[in-house]
Amino acid sequence: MTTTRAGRMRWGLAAIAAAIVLVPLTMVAVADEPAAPAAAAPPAAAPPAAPKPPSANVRIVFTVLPSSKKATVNWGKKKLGVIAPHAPLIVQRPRDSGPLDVVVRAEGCVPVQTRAYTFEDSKVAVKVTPNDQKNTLLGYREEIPADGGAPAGGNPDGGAFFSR
Amino acid sequence: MRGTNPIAIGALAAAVLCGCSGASTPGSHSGDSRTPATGATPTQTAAPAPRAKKEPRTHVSDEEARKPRPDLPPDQRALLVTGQPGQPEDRWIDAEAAEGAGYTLLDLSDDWTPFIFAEQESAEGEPLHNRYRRIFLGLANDELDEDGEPLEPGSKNYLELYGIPPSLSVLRARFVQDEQHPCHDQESADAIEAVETVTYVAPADLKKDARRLAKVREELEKARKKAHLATIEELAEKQPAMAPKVKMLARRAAEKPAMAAVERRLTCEGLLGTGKIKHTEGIYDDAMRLAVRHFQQKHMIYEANYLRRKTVDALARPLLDNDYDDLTRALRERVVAAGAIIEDGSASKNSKNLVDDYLKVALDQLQLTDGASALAFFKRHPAAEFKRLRVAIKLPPRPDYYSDNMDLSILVDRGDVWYDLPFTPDGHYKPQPRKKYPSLTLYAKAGGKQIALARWRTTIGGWRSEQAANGYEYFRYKGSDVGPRVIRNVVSGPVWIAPASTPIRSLTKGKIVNGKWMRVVNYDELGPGYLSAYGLIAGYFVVPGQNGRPDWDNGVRAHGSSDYLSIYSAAGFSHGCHRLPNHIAIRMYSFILQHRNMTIVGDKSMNFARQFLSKETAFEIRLPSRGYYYVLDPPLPVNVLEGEIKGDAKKPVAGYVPMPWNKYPPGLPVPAAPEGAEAKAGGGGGGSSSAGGDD
Repeated sequence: MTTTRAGRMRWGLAAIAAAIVLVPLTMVAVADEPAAPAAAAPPAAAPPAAPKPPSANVRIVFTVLPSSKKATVNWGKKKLGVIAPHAPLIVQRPRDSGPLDVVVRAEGCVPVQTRAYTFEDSKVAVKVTPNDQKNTLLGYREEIPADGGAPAGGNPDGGAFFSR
Repeated sequence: MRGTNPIAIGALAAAVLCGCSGASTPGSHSGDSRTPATGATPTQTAAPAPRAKKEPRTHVSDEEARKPRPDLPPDQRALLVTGQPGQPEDRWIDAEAAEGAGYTLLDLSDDWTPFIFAEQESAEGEPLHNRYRRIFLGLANDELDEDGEPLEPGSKNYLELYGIPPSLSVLRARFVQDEQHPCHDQESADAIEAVETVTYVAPADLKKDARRLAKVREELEKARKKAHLATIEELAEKQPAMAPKVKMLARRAAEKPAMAAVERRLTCEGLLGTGKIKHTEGIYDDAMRLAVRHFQQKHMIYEANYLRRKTVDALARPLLDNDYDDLTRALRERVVAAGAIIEDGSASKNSKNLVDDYLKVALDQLQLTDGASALAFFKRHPAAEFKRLRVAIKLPPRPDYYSDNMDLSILVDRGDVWYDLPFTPDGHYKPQPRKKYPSLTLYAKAGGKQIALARWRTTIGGWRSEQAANGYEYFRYKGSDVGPRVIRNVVSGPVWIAPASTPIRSLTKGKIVNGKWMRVVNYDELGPGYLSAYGLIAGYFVVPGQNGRPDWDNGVRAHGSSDYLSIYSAAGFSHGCHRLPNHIAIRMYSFILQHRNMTIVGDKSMNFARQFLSKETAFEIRLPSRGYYYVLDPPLPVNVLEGEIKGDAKKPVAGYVPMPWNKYPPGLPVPAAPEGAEAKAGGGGGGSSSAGGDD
């Protein structure tokens, strides 16, 4: 099964194209799979009404926020590449080949496990949080002191609720 | 009940009544023939895609339709099974002609899905792809895993229990393999049949259990000697007080060879001894538990993960008999889809059971009457043929109340409801027995009467763990709303946007990613997927908005679920939603969508991302789609009855309640529980702008 979202994707592709132009040559496309050959493009003479076949590969653009950070992107055992300051990492994967569960690591920041999909071209902008600000993340909790906490501690009705 | 307006509900109900036009004849099986929806709905964000009504088929005589057409390509032909019982003759005929002659085409192709995942088109003929269709097919064909990644060679997805029946190719392979390796001998079958269950003894308790049995044996032996009897069986007869102990010893003795037979069977079936977990003979260890679970999944046995009656019965049967049952269940879903029927005999004792009736007709016409005939069918048809295979069958006429636009509605009865805390102050479980369990009934109104089409057990909310803003877990009563609602949006492959109050521990899981084990976001729970909180399909309960206001969505859905024990067990509850087993939810919503005016919106993309912290790693939930939307127009009326309130508390306790066994930092105040739809029931991902969860 393939998906066609040509209209919606137009802006996304334009943004990706712009990003590629801006990226220094050394940073271009750490491609997990080779890019589709130019010959795969639909012939120019194709009738305008004919649906454009989706490309065999999708492009995933990884960026990091703040963009001044440098980060590595790992997919399981494999290092996919590096997001340099102000330069995205672009990865190509076969379309509909399943998601990529990756870990993005930036120095001095909490590592982020995130996911990229292969349904269509996509951008994955990962916000990284400095280690000393991890208390701003959902799920952070104050540790219980070594001497232990009180069961049902702090219940405003003093546990009366349980003795109804 | 906030925002409810009975007048609006009444108006909607009236609209539904007026809309019942009976566009198709009851006898026809044009289940996929739909009238286009008109008008926009308050929740639509994409251009509506009304479904085009199919042209009426030309009448074709039976004789003409049955003419052999072996020349036709698979897309244009259908298989007709003729011949005397026991002597089937296969004939390829023209599929279109067969439909014109009143045959129903039963799709046995490997790319079959239920209606909710079928390929759809917009009014302009543009394909409206469903992201989950590919995964559904990959799972049914043992080709992909739940993430859509290739399955390891030789691996099997046994997912029928979770709403994804195996494809006919998968079943064909099962039949052919099991004929060559029967894994069944009379001695083993006798050993298994000699017991009803096999007592579960945890590996850690084996010695203790052995000591206990030895003590009982010793006690009986002493009593026997004292009574000067030859056997302990005689002792049981003479001294009835001793009988239960004698019986227990005999039962436990019989369980040993039964357990050994089960081990042989599971090993032969390739379910035990193939994984990395080692099994110790005679012990119900993790390897055995896993093997039994796979066996239960393979044969759709709704039972706890032990050797209980249904499981033991299935283990005693020849493989081909089990395979035949697997085939009939897979065919049942296809017959239900082809006939666009729902009545399964569940509504009442004497209610119609079209599902079984139609299935029997289909099996008879295809001459698939037992394991041997099914094996013969598969031998006549190579695997490649199932890439595209439709069979022509003649189904009985459907009841008079059927039409393309039926006056359907849903009634949820909450049954017995407890609001009291289910724990004592010191943390001991306090039973809250229910005689009447919650149920969901689908009605059709015809001739001024409400006809119950099907009634299934469902869930209501109860006490659940929630994670507060301070990072600690508390109890909160997650109730099910009462009163009239409607379902406007039906979503296949729905995504559940976990509320911020979802316990973090449930949001990550271990997974091997590209050769490395790591913790990742638990998308099993979020979806789309058969394990997700919303299952494979969900209908969103809302109070319809008025005067231009959006619908009010409190996060309650009636949805599919893989958690069948929460539906069928005495202590099962949801977070407020009404759960149905996935295959039942698929049937119900497929039926509703096939018999109501509706618009296919298609995939509703979004760009959701949220991070949370767990053990020094930030996990980022990324959801690119809400799911695949169908919009009912007019929406489907729903009513939720309050049920009978049991216990002391007559209203649910509001806010968080500390868990008696949890430790909290001294002085930590109990935080206020978040209000609003996002924190309620199913959380976000709702169908309307007021649903929350869009962050």
